[in-house]
Amino acid sequence: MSFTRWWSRKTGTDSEVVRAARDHWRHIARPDERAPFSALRFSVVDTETTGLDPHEAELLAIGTCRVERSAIVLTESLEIAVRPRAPSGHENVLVHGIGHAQQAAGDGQAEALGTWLLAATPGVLVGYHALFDATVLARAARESLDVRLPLEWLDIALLLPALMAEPASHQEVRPLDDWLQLFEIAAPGRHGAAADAYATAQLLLLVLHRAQARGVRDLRGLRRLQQDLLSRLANQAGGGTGA
Amino acid sequence: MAQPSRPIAAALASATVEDLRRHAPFDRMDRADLDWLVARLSVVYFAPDAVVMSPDDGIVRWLYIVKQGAVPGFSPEQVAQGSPRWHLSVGECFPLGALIAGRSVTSRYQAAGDVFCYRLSAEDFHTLLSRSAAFRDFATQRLAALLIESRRAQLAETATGSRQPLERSLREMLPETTVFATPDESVRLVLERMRSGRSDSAVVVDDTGRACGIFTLRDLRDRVALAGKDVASAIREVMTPDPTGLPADTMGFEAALTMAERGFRHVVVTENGRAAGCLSESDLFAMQRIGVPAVAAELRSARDLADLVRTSRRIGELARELALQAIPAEQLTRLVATLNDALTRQVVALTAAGCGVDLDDFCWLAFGSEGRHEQTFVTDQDNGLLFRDVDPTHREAHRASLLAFARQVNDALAACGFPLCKGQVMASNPRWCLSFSEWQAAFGGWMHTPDGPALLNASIFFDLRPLCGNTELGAELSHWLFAVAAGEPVFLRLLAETALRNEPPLGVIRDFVVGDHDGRADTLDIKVNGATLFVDAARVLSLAGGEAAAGTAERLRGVARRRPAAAAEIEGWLDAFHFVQHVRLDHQMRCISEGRPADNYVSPDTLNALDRRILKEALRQARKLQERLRLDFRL
Repeated sequence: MSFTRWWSRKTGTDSEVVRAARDHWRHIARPDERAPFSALRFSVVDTETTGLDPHEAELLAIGTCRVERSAIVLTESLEIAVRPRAPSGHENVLVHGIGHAQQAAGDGQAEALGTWLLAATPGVLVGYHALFDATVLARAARESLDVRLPLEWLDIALLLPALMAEPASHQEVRPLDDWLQLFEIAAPGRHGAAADAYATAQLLLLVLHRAQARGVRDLRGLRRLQQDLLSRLANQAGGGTGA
Repeated sequence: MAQPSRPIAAALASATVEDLRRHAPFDRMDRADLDWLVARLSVVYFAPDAVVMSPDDGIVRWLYIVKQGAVPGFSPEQVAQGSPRWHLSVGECFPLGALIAGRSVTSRYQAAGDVFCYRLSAEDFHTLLSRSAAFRDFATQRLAALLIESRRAQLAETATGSRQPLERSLREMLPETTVFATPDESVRLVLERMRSGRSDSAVVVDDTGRACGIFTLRDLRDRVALAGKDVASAIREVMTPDPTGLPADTMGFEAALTMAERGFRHVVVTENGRAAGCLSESDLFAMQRIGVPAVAAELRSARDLADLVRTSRRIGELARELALQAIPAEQLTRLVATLNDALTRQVVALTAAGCGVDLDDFCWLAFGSEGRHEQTFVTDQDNGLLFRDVDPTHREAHRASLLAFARQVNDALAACGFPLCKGQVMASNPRWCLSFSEWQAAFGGWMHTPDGPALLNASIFFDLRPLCGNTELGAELSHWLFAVAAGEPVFLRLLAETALRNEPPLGVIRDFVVGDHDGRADTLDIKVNGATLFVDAARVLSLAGGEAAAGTAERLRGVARRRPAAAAEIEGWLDAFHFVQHVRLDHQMRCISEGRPADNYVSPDTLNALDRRILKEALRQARKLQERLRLDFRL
């Protein structure tokens, strides 16, 4: 931990990273909804948290994989450990594998989020069951950076079934592992934030290609696909919510 | 936006390193180089049937490593047929050759199914080549194999099958069924068997499996039908006895040449002396198209020196034509040697007849490159004469008559384009026109007193091959020699030491150590500083193993047979040697097409990037071969 960060926490003033991130966000350009995919930068994000309720859970790690010109740029992928404000329960440690010692070693939430924001934006935010990650990150960013992140992410869990041909089982929302298995994508280190983001990023490449083959060429089109699938699910469930 | 460069997510980086490490060459690369590589990789996706790369894309900008899926490569003509030239699967890198040479690909690479590839920029690829020795070794070694592959493909594309028999041995050319008979079987029985086997010939074998005769439809006409012979008679009465046999590993062109030279239509193919099948002229028909039999027939009908000189020019033209057709160096040098052999035989035969010398009285010996079957387009005479021991009082008179004859042969060969040997290694030199015991004494002297001149002589005379005349006498001498040489450790050690004094011309700063040769600046002597490295080492290893082989490739293969554990390594030496010979032949062809005398002085700068890199690797292989020699002889 640098002296400034340590000092900032002690005194309650903002660290350099936090100020830079906030400044960065103020001047950020929103992604062009009509640009071709190849001109867009995507940030595929996965978070590890202390619980399953996005309104309660504390952030443990943020993994991000960048996609530019339809290629995953490995150098630009990152994994940031976050020191939670309260250590997580024992059973959760078993899932995400981040022990208490490691949790304590992570960046403070504000610094972690600042670092992440600087690296992952500007960029189209993408996730798998993205609403969970979007909610956790938006809440944390509001609390510690006073930054309002959008909740409208691209969701591979919705886009992939929307673009799949028969059989019907391929057109349903399925767990990430099902798709990885179907496309034989090896995902070593699954359940680590960066590894999951990496697996999701590979599916994003597939999604972009399939969307293009369908005549969908921009963000607007992708959002529409996503919305259509959500409505279909809502109808199927008789008015209940899907994902 | 000022932000520090961040390290790639550690978990992802190590997972990628582990993924790559499951495949060569990443499994033997240093961790630091792997980390460097992984930090520069991106991952791309190709949908089923998407074109990954094609010749139309221009100069290659990326190296791909297949992460998942399969990528077949098609030659432009094959795309329509759907049969790929090669198949790249998980862990394989492509396109190495095009990247190194900085050109476009020759194949079209298409994704079979969903494919993910790691991708590295051409610039980073070149940095990695210079950073990582393991990666460089892999890339250049694969290249040698790929080069051979691409020459084959080129051959198949340009020749539509007509030239392939050149590269095939008789074993590969044998028809599926051969009709065999035993000497006492009736003509009728054999004919019935020939009919059901749809064959126009039968091989008659004795109880040991050796061919004692051959029976063809022509024999049926001449010796049964027209001779009024009963079909109940034994086949032995009407067969053509003692047919010529050739070992199954004889090359197709050698068989075609032998048949044309001696004027017969069938040849028995043998495996370890036992008859394995029979080939007819028509099976070797493809040889007609490349003109080998035509040249052989011309040689056979030559009546005087003028005829021979004319034919020698045709041999030169034929060899150069074949060289243009991308025939592998080993086959090409062997073909040149075979044609030159045939020419020499005819020169010797005609001269002997003119001088009244009996062909049975002497054996004409080939030495050096001719002895090794490794002649290129620049070759002077290296020959000698062996005669049976005679009463010492008559010896000198006998030698004098043979010397007069040999002088005529040497001059005739010179007229046919084989310059006289500067070192006087010729049959017309009294020193090399020797009786059996005199040759034994000469060889024995070199082995027991291995001084400088003796070791120099060894490099020429130990590559001996009986060429014509009484070849059995010659074979006797070479058997004696190879049996004795294996038991001369001091001599062999000195021979190895001499071979090691010639170092591969690889530089520390520059790629190649070049110099001034014959007024040609910045060249390397591809013979002395290239081919000879392999030739000399192979000779010592072979002599030490008591092998009788005289060709470099044959010698190295012999070593591989004795040491199966080193077979893969030796395969690398062979590829390297053939590549050096290929560069040499290409260079000589260029000299000839530019209208100047062919030499061995290659300027590395004139080679394309690919050939330069492979030549460097080939010379590294020579270094490895020398290391083997050093170990074997504890030098």
